[in-house]
Amino acid sequence: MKKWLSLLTLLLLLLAALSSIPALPLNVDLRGRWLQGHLLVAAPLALLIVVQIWWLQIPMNPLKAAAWLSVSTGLGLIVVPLLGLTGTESTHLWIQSHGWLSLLGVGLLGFSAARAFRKG
Amino acid sequence: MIRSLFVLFLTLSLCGDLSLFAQDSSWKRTDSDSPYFHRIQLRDSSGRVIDPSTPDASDPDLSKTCAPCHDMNAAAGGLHAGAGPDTRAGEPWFLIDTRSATCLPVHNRSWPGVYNPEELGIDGTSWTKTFGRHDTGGNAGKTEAGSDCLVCHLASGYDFARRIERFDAGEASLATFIAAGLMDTAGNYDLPRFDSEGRIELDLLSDAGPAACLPCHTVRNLETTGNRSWLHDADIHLAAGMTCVDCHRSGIDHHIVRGYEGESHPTGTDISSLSCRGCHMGTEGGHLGAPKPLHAGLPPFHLDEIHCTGCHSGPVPELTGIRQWTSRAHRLGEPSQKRFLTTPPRIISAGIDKDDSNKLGPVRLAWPAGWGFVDEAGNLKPLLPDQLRQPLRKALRVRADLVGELAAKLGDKNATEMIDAALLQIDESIDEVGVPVLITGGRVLASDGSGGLAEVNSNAANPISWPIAHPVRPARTAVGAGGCADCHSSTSHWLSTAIGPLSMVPLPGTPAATSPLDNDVVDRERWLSWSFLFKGRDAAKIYYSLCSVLAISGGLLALWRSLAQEPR
Repeated sequence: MKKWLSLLTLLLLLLAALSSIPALPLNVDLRGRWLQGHLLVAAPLALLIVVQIWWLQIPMNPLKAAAWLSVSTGLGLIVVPLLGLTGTESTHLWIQSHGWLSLLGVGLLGFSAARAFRKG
Repeated sequence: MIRSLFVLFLTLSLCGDLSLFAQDSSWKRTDSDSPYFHRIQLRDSSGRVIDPSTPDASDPDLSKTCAPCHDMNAAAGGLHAGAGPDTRAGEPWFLIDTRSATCLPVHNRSWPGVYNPEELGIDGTSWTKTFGRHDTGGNAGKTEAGSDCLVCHLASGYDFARRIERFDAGEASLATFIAAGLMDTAGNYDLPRFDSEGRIELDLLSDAGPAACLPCHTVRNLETTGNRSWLHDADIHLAAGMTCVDCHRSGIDHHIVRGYEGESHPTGTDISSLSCRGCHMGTEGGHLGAPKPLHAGLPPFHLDEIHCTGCHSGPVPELTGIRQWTSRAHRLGEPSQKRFLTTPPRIISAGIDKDDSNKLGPVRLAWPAGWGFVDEAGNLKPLLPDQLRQPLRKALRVRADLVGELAAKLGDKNATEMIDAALLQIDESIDEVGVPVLITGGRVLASDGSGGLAEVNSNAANPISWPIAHPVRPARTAVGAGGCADCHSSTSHWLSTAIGPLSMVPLPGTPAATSPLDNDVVDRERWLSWSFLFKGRDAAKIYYSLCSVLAISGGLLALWRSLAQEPR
């Protein structure tokens, strides 16, 4: 069960990353159908991140913990403009920070997994 | 040697100074921000000073009167006078004739759906008589009345209603002097206004305030009952004490800045800071203390896809579909008891459309009506009221008001048979190529040959539109001030409100009405899906907030624990 939930979380993380590609180049921002798709993935993903961190209690090394913290902070950053606490121009920065931190988290998770795989 | 150099230096300095003084030497300037007090003598068409007290005093000529101090050649040109590039579509003139139920959009500019006066055979004299009342004239204009400086620059004492009277009477030449109270309608000077040297004091200002522009640029909202709305607010800029020309600036050339985004000025001057976005959000903006909007909570791409006017201009969205009168279309400024809700043209405000830059913005819509011949390609050759007079009188027995008289004759019946007869009569009387048609209610109708009418495939009945910019509403009354659901909800009916024409003539069938969702200006499926998603927006805010708080705190805890467990 834990394994399946972890795999599902990773899959959704990848989908979230893929669905954000149309937001490139920077300052274009995700919109339309792609944004809807991104939100569709994000809704269960947010819950799964919480489950992953609090419920599954996976033993974490500092690298993995930093990766999840990065993903979590990425989630937190997008909530700020969602709550209407930012102006339109600064919203760009919040959205971009959300994207970069989330990607950093995904990258660190991948790096952590690769390192664990090498160690056997 | 030193002395020669000194002489050369002095000469060059003097030349420099002289060239400075010599600039614009043809025209007198005060170069003061304080307005020049005009106590001037009138001049005739030869440029001679007029002594108004003499019995044989000649008629004044405004251009010659102003010419000693102002570059009248430049002043009579510019965008305002019809010169320069056509640029974005604006409000056309409407050729209206109730006797033939004609309502054709006309303009010198090549704007979509608008007929060129030359194409219609409208000459200068006819233009002056029909539209001169609200046409300030100029070198590139159609009116024969010449450029009227006083109508815009005389700060007080210009009787616009009297101007309209003179133009309607076909006596345009002295209209400006009569309207300004310098002469009576018989052409006699008002002598008490002149001093002993024949000079007259005129309160002329380069910026005579909004009152200078409003005679020709008023837009009035009508309530559905036909009453004149008094519950609306003025444009926020005017309410804040600004004037029209604070944004719509120009030099003596009268290339008045229109103020839309991406406008390029004929002189090549960078005017980007004079658009809404340029002034309020641009780095060069901030004119006159323009506040920079925060747009808190608005996803930034909205500003890429919607013009500022999309949320801030025109009547408030609840009133979408509101009927409007405009100065030029409905002869505002003329005291009248005959201006009704149904008075053509039917102009509807606050439709939304995409412009050439693919951005959404509000527009006004109007539908053409009238008679003409349609060729095989569907192109219309419209007929002028004068051409229609005889055949319509013969076929329909109407004299003054086709719409009204037909309605009275028909009662509850429709006019199909009568229109069919009129079309046959037009075909017989007028030698034109194509099929005779009636344009009304957004349809092009031709005789079906058996006493009925059939729709013809042509774009001639399509509505014309032009962007709305005023009145500008402040943040509290902008679309979105009530939250995302102002647009993203099934109750934001302003997007789904169908707007259509009305048939001037009673005919069977309902004129087609469309909404921005019907004609793909806004993607219906996407709008519906966002409306659905936004139902859960408040819950989503709580959900994501909780998740992020839990996730971040859990992540911090996990990192702390992992660091604590690391072997030292």
